[in-house]
Amino acid sequence: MPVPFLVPCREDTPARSSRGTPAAGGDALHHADDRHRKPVQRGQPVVHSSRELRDVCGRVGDRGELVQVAADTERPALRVEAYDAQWSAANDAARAADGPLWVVLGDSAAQGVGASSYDAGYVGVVRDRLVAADARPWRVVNLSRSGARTRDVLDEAALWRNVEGFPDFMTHLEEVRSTGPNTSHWKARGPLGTTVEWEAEITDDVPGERIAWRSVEGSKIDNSGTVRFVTAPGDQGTELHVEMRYSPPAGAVGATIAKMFGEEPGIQLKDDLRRFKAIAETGEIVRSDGSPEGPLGRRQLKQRPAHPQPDEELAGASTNGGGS
Amino acid sequence: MRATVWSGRNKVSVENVPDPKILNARDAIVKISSTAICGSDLHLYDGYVPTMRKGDILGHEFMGEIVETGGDVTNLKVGDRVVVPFPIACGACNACAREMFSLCENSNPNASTAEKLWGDSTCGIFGYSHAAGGYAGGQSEYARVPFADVGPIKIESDLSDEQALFLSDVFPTGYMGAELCDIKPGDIVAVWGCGPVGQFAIASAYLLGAERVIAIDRFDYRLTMAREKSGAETINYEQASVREALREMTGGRGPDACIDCVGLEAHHHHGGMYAYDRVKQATRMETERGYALREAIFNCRNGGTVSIMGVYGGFMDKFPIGAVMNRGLTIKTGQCHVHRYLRPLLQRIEKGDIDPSFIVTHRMSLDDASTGYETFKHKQDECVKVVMTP
Ligand SMILES: NC(=O)c1ccc[n+]([C@@H]2O[C@H](COP(=O)([O-])OP(=O)(O)OC[C@H]3O[C@@H](n4cnc5c(N)ncnc54)[C@H](O)[C@@H]3O)[C@@H](O)[C@H]2O)c1
Ligand SMILES: [Zn+2]
Ligand SMILES: [Zn+2]
Repeated sequence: MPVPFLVPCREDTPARSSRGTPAAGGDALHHADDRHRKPVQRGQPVVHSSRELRDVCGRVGDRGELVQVAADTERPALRVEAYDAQWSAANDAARAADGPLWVVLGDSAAQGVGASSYDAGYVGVVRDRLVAADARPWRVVNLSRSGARTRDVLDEAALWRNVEGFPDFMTHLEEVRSTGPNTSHWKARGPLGTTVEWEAEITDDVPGERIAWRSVEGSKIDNSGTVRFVTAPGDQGTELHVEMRYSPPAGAVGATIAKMFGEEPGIQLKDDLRRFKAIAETGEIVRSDGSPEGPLGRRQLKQRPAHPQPDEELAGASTNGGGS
Repeated sequence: MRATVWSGRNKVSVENVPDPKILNARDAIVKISSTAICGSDLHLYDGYVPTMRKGDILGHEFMGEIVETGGDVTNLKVGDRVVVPFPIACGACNACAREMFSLCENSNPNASTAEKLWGDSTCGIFGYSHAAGGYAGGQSEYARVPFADVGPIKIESDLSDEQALFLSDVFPTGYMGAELCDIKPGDIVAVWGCGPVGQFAIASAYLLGAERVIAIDRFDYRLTMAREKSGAETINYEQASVREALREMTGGRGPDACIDCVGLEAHHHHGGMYAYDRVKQATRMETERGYALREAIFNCRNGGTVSIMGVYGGFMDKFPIGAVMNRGLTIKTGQCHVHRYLRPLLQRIEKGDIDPSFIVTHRMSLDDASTGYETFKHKQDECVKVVMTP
């Protein structure tokens, strides 16, 4: 069954799509400071049972949450009769009104198909509960479509287009800063506290298909990468195919750089992808006592004992690979 | 806090360690009220599971009270009484969506280590080696529970700890062992091993409609428990030939399904055979002693199912693949997908279909953990299950 997605949105931030154009009716939502915050729950998960529904709703009130919405969410092919007309009218009214906003993505269940009226389905019920629970005039903009699938509404590529979020899951990166619509400044960590920096530009960006970047002419380190998005057979989600290339300069500096890109680049890339997957699917990189940084190649052989660590030691171990 | 710490082969001690803290927003901290020692812990204790480190906190069967929650946990609140399933699962990945929680793709930060051992990774597991994530376990005063919005089940009725605790592992594990057998009316199920997992596999086979269940072990007190508590027929393999007895009891067909609840430290009454595997295992030429499994395969009815709940870690000699192939057997196995069974089995307990506390033979303080391990390991004093309270 396709899965409904519940997308809370913070009321006070004008929301924009990741591509900088107003998305999906102008109400959707992505703001840089919230990037990578929370479940863009991909794959087949979620909101089936009333318990899970309650859990999700419990999160609505207190914070805005990252979600990136594909620009073609309202694509006509996804529309069937359902309660489409009623929701369109209700959405217009909600856009004009004031109050905290809840944007709903989902399929026929979120449309209310099967319920006696458009707002007697679970979306209406949850909205009423929200209002009852915190006494604020919650608005709902319902962008759901009968027959929608996860990838019809959530845009994984947006996570990759947001280069500033890369250090969250690429552990050798210290910082990536956007310097223009297609350009960015990268800073990577090396051994013994060294760093190396370069400028990169996005060279190819086909929404939902692939995104590619490379370092600009004259960078200290010549590197490039491509991520392709392939729909897995049987609606199992999206496969990410990543290629990274780099050619370090010759000499001692080159050797240092080679080292920082990992002695086993294959393993490092795999761990980075695990971290990406974890952020995309669960909203966090899970830490253990043995591996407080999350998946990290160099930590595999130097596990800490599996008991709680004193504060001082934990402080040095962040999930973006810092500390050791 | 005090915690049971692995200090090398055959050594555990209760030591003072720092209290656990919330490390992720979906964590909760549980103040443990009851915690048990599992047959799986014995494999760690005996040193058969690789990637253990001195100082690791053991224990994956525990329950207690929520004392702290991370910012993203909204389904639990301080004071809730919960049982914690031993696999750690995110609830959102493909495996979790298919309810194969022990194969969760996001809960094992040491996935690349596990991948080297087994080709791909399993979920994270509390107190169960670094290949299973390097998580501190729950034979302690407190434990940190990751993905607390997915795993723990609230106990809201007035069940005692001993009635609810085994939802964490051995009851669902025995149940899954029986469920994998796809039991049909008239089926005869044989169960190797009458430890806690075996006892629940036997009881569950009856719950799922087996006509008869035959229990196999060498400890009479365990066989007696299987007879008296669940109504099984029994074979003591030191006193009778398992093969002959099974054939006799099944009209010459063999059991329709066989469940291995023994695992990699199986014992063999045949001195020569036992010595052969012990030596090979000690010298790391094979990692398993596989008699129970070999015997289960060899004796299963043509076209039947062999369900493996006993834990194995690596490679086995003399695996009877010819019997499996030529006689069309089906092998099913896995670490238990505990989350899948929590609710239905809790309901069964609340309805009174089963009272899992029947396996408890030893109750002691957490401080006596090392006595608990020794007693359980050597099956002294008619020990079946040790429950400790911090
Ligand atoms: N798959 C899972 O998720 C899961 C979960 C929990 C436990 N386990 C595993 O289940 C197994 C049993 O656990 P337990 O807690 O019941 O342990 P246990 O040590 O109490 O029980 C094992 C029993 O097997 C018997 N046995 C040994 N050799 C035998 C043989 N050749 N034939 C018949 N019986 C034999 C022993 O006498 C003992 O009674 C262990 O391997 C444990 O690791 C698996
Ligand atoms: Zn166990
Ligand atoms: Zn998962």
